[in-house]
Amino acid sequence: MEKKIALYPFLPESQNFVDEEDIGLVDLLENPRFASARSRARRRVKWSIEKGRIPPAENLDKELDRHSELFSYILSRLIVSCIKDDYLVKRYALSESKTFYSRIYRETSLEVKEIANSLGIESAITEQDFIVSLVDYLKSSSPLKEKSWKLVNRKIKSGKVFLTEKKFRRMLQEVVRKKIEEDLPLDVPDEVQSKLKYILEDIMQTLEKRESKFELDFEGIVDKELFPPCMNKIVSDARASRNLSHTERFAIVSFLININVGYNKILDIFKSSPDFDDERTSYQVKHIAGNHSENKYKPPSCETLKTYGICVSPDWRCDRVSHPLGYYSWSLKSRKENENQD
Amino acid sequence: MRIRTKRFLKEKFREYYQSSSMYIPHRLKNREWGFIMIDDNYPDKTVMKRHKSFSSEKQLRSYVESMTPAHAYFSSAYYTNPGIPKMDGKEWLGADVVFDLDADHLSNSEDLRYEEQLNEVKKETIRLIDDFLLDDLGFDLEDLIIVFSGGRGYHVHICSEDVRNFGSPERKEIVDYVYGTGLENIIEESNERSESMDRAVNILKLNKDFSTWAERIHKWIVEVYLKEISKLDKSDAIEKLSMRKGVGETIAERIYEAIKVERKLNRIKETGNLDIAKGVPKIFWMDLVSKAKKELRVEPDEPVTSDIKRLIRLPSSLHGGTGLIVRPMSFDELDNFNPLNDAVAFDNKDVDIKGNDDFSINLKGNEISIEEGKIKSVPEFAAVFLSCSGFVEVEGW
Repeated sequence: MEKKIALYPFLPESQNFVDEEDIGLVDLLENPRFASARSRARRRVKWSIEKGRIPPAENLDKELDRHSELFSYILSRLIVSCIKDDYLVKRYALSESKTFYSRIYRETSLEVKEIANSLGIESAITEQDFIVSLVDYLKSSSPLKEKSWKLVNRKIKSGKVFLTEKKFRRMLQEVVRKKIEEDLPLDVPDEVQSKLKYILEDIMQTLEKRESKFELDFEGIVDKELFPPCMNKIVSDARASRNLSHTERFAIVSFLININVGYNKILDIFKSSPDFDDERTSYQVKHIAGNHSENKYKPPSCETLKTYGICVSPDWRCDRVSHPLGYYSWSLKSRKENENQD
Repeated sequence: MRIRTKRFLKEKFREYYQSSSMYIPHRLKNREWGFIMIDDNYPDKTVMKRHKSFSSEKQLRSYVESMTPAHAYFSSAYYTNPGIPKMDGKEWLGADVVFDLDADHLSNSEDLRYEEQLNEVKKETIRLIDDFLLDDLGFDLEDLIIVFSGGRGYHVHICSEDVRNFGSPERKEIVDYVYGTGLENIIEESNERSESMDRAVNILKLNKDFSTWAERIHKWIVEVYLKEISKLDKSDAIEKLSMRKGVGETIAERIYEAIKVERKLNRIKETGNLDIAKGVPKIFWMDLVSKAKKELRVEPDEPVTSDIKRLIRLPSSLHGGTGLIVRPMSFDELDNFNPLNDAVAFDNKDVDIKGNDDFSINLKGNEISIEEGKIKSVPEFAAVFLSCSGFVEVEGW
């Protein structure tokens, strides 16, 4: 088996290899031959929940190790499919794709091009750039929210988009994430469920442990009804485990800080985001909050939010304010007035 | 609108639909259709009959001929079940990408006559197609359908297989591209307010490899703006330059001296180096960049393009608010297209009308003017235009 097949188990050639081996489900789940693949699969899923990445592989010089690396991926997918949890699927796909990114880092440009080709992305290499079609670019890069990914900031000629090699690799990470996420959960026969029972219980516990860390009592902390539509959208995106762009994060955090939501409550909101990273987020929130109240960052104005495409379905109140905080204080005031009338 | 005027319009619209050929969109059977009728409510309250579908060209034709709608629309999307009233039940299969350019957004639209507005939007449409859709985004001209909207603008449909599966985010990205939304700071913002004398090369990221937009902006600054200045007399040039932010006479003179010789300007073009004169403040460049951006972008109606389930006017139908033909055309025709001649249906037979207002317009080369309360005869094509637009009522129908 080529090393590539073990390292990039979601490529069609890896799939072909698995098909040719023709290993029965029962073997995979019970045969001692696959014991190490099973234990690695369990770690694969566990790490993805706990750390957002896949545990590093053995050096894969031995055929045996490659074998169990490849089949641990097949088993991981079965595990994730048994649990049928939207958050887990997203988190797992993200983790696999991050590991993919770190692995292709060691490949030559030509190899990266080949891997991309297997993933359905055709490209051409020039001295400085990777060139991809507009259609592939838009489809793969649309979840990437950083400004430099906007088409407007790219070099594009006759439907060909120019990317640095680093950006091209990053785009491929997105392709892998999407591919894994879209394929899951697989239909798994009941017998798999029962045969994997001991692993599934472990994974469920890990998942619960993580979830209990971030009970989402967002409704409890401030009244979301008073928020402008844009901020509401970001909060629901975060809760639906969608990735937030840097600007969206900044906007919601600075907004919440300015309406005096506590630091820990803010962290809670982000914990359901699939790429949540405890340390990084808490650093960011602290930074935005500033040491003293006068150092606090203000959220961007409506105009800026519009530029970043964060402004969504503005309502009648939006037409009359120019800042999300203005919206909030107005709606808060009207709420109080209403209450007084009652 | 009086009943006799409605009767007149209905009859004229029927004549038009019976005698003209109809544009048939690809995947006809999978489109949803919507119509606004010339009925009791028309034109004050518009009620759209939507969720219609047709299984053949013949069926569509006979519906339109018998109903003679004031406005006809079809969906940019195609569905498995286009006729089901609930959007969820339709099963989306894909959609064309549509751009809607309208005089609404022109900053000076109120100061312009209808003809002038139409001309401005036409120029914008040509830039949309030439610069953005063909040159940059690489679409094929044969996949584009270019249509005069019948109102104050143009529609461009992209019907290529490549785009049909685009979701809203991808479509929005294309609108952002043509409008220049989210353009990375071409100028470092750090010292925005200071009177910084940074060298242009440090502040302007207008390197060709930076982005296509940056390249265009650079090109505009050198080959349009500076070139224009370089051709002026010294005193005119200095006056013009001093009008820009951050430039006094001294600096204006330095800039002029640096570019007045063609050879020097060509050098700037070749090297891309905008460090043309000492002491040119950042604000001057910032101001120019934003001017360039305004000149270069086009502004389609964003929701029309991003929406994957939009109804759009049927090419070759009549626009009930003007009576003009929603005319499809080739890109070559667009250049010389004059809606007030080329989109006018109907002939010269005289029709008596009574003015609701004072108004004049040139239609098919005839200067037509009406006065409030006055009855006069005008050619039929003018009577249709004027009554659809609410300027007159028709007499004797």
